[in-house]
Amino acid sequence: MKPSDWEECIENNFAIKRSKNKKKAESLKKIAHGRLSFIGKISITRENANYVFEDYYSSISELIHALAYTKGFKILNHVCLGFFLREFIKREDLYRLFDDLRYKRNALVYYGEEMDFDVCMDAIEKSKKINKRAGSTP
Amino acid sequence: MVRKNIKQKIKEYFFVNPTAKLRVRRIEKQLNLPLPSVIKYCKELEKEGILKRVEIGGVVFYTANRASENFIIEKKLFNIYSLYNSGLVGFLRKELGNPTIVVFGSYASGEDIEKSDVDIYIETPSKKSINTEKYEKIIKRRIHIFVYKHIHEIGNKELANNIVNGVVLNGFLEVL
Repeated sequence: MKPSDWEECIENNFAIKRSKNKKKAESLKKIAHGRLSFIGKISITRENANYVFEDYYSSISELIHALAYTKGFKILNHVCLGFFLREFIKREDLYRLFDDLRYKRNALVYYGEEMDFDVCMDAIEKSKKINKRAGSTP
Repeated sequence: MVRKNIKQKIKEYFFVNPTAKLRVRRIEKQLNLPLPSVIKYCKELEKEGILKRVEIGGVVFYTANRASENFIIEKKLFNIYSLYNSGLVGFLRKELGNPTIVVFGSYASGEDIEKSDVDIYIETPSKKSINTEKYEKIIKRRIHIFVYKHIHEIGNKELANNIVNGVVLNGFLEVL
């Protein structure tokens, strides 16, 4: 069952209320930043662009999970990560970007549909944009 | 159920062929429907403002009531539904990696006729060529695609204004 909003994520245990866990959040942030620093050093080519994108997506997902831990939530699915951005921290702009990347990542990971190089580069730029905009998220 | 289907079939015929002027017997043959039902539902659709009667040389024809608000609203919804139902939106999403898709112009406003193109704006960095022939046959309209990486790249102001006044079928159009 695909939830249609944050409330359904909570009702169906796709997002679980927990006590705030700053330690876990910091640890996830460290991993995300390590990953971003690693992929930042890679020169992107037509051959590796899709894989680099996948890593950018992973780092974003880690950062959202980290943010959720600081707010006292454990989130178990990616649709709910988006709803968390949209409805819990009220960042519609981040949600839109993230949801588009989620679609692209699903097409890649679950259906084996690689993106065109130009689309992939655009997705990487959007990933960077999320990271930049998320920096202003409380 | 049957009642709805016959009425819907007549309605949809005139949404796709808004300039057609047909006698009830022609509608009966064209759509393969029983004549008494055609007569009954054409009268109902006339009352609802979807069709209008025109008399030419003492002969009654039915045609779309294109000036009626009801006709325009229902046709607009039918057009949008047709784009999804034809599979075109899904195809573009899959081929171009979830781009922003906007339908604009006469098709989006429900004012298109048989000769009108379906104007579709796609925002994508992809340079992939797209063949929409299959979908043109389904929706019975030619499809005119405008591809840009971003709406700000459109030099023609009128075109950009038409696009932002269209209907977003997928994604989000960021103007500012």
